[in-house]
Formats: sequence, structure tokens, C-alpha cells
Amino acid sequence: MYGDAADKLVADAKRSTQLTHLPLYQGELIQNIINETNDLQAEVEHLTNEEIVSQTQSQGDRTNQCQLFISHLAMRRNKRCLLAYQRYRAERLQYMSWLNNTTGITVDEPGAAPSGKAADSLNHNEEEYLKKYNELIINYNKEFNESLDLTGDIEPPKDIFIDVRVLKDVGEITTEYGVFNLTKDSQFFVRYNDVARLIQQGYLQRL
Amino acid sequence: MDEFNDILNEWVENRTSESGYNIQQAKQDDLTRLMQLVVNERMAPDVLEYEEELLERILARTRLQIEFIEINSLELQLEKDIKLQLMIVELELERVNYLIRTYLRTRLSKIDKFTVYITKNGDMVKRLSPSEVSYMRKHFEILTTLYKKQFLSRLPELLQLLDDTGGGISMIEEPDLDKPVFVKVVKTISHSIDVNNEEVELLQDGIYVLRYSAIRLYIMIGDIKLI
Amino acid sequence: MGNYYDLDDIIADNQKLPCKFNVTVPGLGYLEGNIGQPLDANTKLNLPLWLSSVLAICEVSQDSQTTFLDLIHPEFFNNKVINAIRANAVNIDLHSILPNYYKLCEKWCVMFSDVELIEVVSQMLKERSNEINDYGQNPKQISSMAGNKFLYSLDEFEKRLYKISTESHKLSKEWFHNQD
Repeated sequence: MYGDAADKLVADAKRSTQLTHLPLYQGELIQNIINETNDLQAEVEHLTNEEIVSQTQSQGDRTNQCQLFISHLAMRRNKRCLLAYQRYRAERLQYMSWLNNTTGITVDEPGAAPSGKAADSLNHNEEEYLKKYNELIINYNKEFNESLDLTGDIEPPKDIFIDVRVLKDVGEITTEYGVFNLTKDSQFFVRYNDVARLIQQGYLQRL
Repeated sequence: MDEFNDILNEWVENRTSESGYNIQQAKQDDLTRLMQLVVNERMAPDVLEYEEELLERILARTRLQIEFIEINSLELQLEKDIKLQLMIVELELERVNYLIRTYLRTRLSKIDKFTVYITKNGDMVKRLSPSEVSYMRKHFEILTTLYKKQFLSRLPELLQLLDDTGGGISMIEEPDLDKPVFVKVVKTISHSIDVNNEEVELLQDGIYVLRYSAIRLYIMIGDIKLI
Repeated sequence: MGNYYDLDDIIADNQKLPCKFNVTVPGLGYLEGNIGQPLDANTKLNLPLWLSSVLAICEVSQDSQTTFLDLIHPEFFNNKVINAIRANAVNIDLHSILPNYYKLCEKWCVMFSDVELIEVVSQMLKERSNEINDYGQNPKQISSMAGNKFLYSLDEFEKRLYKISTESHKLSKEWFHNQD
């Protein structure tokens, strides 16, 4: 039945709404859908020529055109599914961009190393789109104040300043609020932005 | 909390040169207005008018705050008072930035969703800031390039349009203006409004759930606000 | 409306419904496995909504009232189901009747303006929503036998409602807690 491959594609997109990583791009399935659509187009052209030649049509009787009509509907259905699939993936990529993930490689935890399998899930056109989109939002960001970084999670700021304990020696860090000597087991009240990386990397523990 | 406000007030007064004008009140009013704008933008189904003046004013003030922070944090051994002031200014800056960020990104996501519709409607384009128009155009360009490269250019020509309205379903996504929204009435509306053949009276301070389309104009003039 | 790219809408349009063809159509034999043959009038078939909904409103010719096919009143809205809903909406296993029950009802009602169906289903939604809200407020109850049974009986739309309900009750509780 026409549209079966398209249904599979949309089901794949729907499934990925529940996944944290974007699954592999369904290149083969998409090629099948394209082929099916072009076959339908060939059929449409053939039927249309037949119509012109046979002239069996009485004015206004659409019965003979029904097959033609259905082929058109099937073609449009395929187009719709293709676009919905790609658009959904594009939206995920946009989301990644806003979270400052420019490689397209999704990870389970921020700061963790990307796992091999996720690295191939984008095809090269999608990678390019991600790159261009990222440039786009960087440019948009430039129109505003430096401190206003439009990227990142849209969560209300909770703890600008936090208490941390040092788990491993870091040495001295310099912040606007002074120099801190981060030795093991010492505790500090610091600005989150200054130490976010160190927390991610396991040097500091947030209290 | 009061102590914080006092310190903020003190800091603002040290920086204002306009005399005879209640800067603190104006600043608070602007922030209140910005908060309402954020709520409006998040709750309304369509993209609202870009409040350029307000944003400019607030951005100018945040620039001052950034300067203050930069100048005062150059010294490494800070006095306790300055340190506290710095902290408070930073806290406030984060909050204001959060509001601006939410406002702008909410708009961008709606703009992305309704790009084709907006582009075809001169009225709607007017509601966007120049930066937003530029973003919209550029994004649409890279998105359609993606579609074309991935499959669209390999489909039959008649299928290649992205604003097709034939075939039983329109490709143009429009904002659902009939979406129900929660509202609070700021000023009693003089005549009752017609909702589904029912007359509804909108009284001051009343909270209602109504179709956006029924009260859109009142929101624009401020007699009703979204919550 | 914002439907073209909507994944759920596309999936709902895939739903196969029973149809009856009103005329013999040349070339459509492939729909029932007879490639190259015409499809005879009165043939009954299950076709996806994206196809059948268009053919059900398209007349066979300009002066005819007959459409290419009629959508046969499907099982999920038949009298037996309607009566069961009227009797006890909360106990119905909606998921096993149709995972996308409300969505399909919506599409059907848009096409055919079935007022009775709209009333019955709206009432059902109200009653079941109340139940969903109760469980949302007391999520531990969902692991009870009755709770479990109810959870599995929810259609896709109701499942989303349940998720939103539990989330928002949880957030409210946390917010109140933080006010102390």
C-alpha cells in the first residue's frame, strides 16, 4: 500500500521524541519513499496521457480520474511525512544549538565524553544545518549586550552563588570576588558561573 | 529583602543624573511591564508587537550594571561593602537577563513555527524587530536548503512548494487564535462579550478562561491581561 | 491551523477505517490485491483516513450527490460502545478500543458533525479527567490494582493529561513547601 514507508518514517520520528539522543538518519527509508513518489508521478503522467488520448470522459464525471486522484493524494502524503520527519529532527538540532551543543553529538550527561554510537546519527546535510544554525544564533546574540547570553536552559536563575567543597586540589582561581585557594576539603561561597566547569569535572562538590 | 532593596536604591541613586524624576519608580515600572510582556508572549498563540522602546531602556540600564561590575571587580581584595553591592547587582542582572532571554526566545520559537504565515502577512511582519526579521529569513533559508538537499529536490516538481494549500490540508501553519487563555480583568469591560452565543460579563479583578480571539483587542489596550 | 507538520496528527491520519465504495472505479483493484483490475461498487475495504476522508466527501460527478465511498460507522463509536460510555465512563478501557480515541473522534466529528457523539465523548472526557486529576494529586494510588487498571485504560491524549497532572501537582506541592 502506498504510504507504508512514509508511515514507518513518521513512527521513527515519534519514537525519537522519547529518546535523549537523535537516532540514525533513515537514509534508506527516505530513498524508498522518494522512489515510490517518483513512480507515482510516472503513473500520474501515464494516466493523464491516456485520458487525453481516449477522451472517454464525459463532462464532470470523475470516476475515471479517481485513480489519478488517489495517486496525487499518496504523493502528497509522502511529501508530508518526509517534511515532518526532517522538520522534527531540525527542531532537535535547533534545541541542541541553543544548549551550546555544536557537535551534534548527544551525551547522557553534560561534560561526559560522547559515546561512539551517537556520533553518526546525523547525516552530513544535517551537520551543516547545525553549523549554520549555530552561526545564526551567535549573530543574533551579538545584537544585544555582552552579558546577555541568550543560549542555555530557560530556567529561572536560582543560585547565582553557591557553597562548594573542594574534593581535589585545584590551586588558586581568580574571580571578580577575589582569589580563592582551592585546597582539598576547604569550603567556599562562590559564584556558580565561575566554578561550573570544576564541578562538572569533579574537582568541587556543590553543597 | 528590604535591605537588598535599600542597597539597590542607593546604588541607583549614585548613578542617576536626571533630577526631579523618580528613576527608581520608572525602573520598577519597566520591569513590571517586562514581566507582563513575558507572560503575554508565552500565553498568546500569536507573536505580539515587539516592544522596542522598553527593551532599549532596559538594555541600556543593564549595560550600566555591567560597567559597574567590571569597574569594581578589578580590585582583587574587595571591601566587604562593595562585595555585597556587587553580589546584589549581579543577582539583579541575572534576573533581568532571564526575563529578556525568555521574552526573546519565546518570540523566536513562535516565529520559527509560523514563518510562512508571517511572511505572507505584512501586518505580522511589522510586529517583529529588525533582528527578528533577519533571523526569520536566514533560518528559513537554511531550513529549506536542508529540505532540498535531503529529498525535496528529488521529488516531482509540483510537490516542491512549501506553502501549498491544495490537497485537503494547508502547509501554512497558522496560530490558533481561538485557543483558550487564562486572563485577569484589569478594568471592567463596559459591554458584555459574546462567547458561543452566551453573554459573558467581564468584571474587574475577575479571572476567566476565554478564547484568545474574543479578548485579543482588550489585551492589546491593557484592559485585560494574560496570566 | 498548526497541523501539517504535527507528528501526532499524521499518525492519527493513518488510522484505517472501514469504507464502502459506491461506484466501480477503474484501476483501483490494487487496493484489494487485484492489480490492474477495477474496484467494484459495494466493495468494503479498510483504508487510511488520509485517503478515505477525501474520497468520502468527493462527489463522483458534478451533478451527483454520491461520493466515491462512504465511511461505515466504525466499531469504536457504535451503539454498544456509546452505551457502555454512558453507563460508566471511568471504567471503559479506552486504550484497547482505540489508542488515539479522542483524536479520531475529533476528526470524525469535523467531517460529519455527529452531535450525539460529541456530547457523549465530551462528558466522558470530563468524568475521566476528574479521575485522572485525583490520581495526579495522589500518585501513589496509581500503583493499586484499581489505579493500575485505570492507567492502562487511558488513551494517548489522557496519558499526556495524566503526566501533566502529576507534574503540576508535584510542582505545586514543592512550591508550597518552599514557602515555609
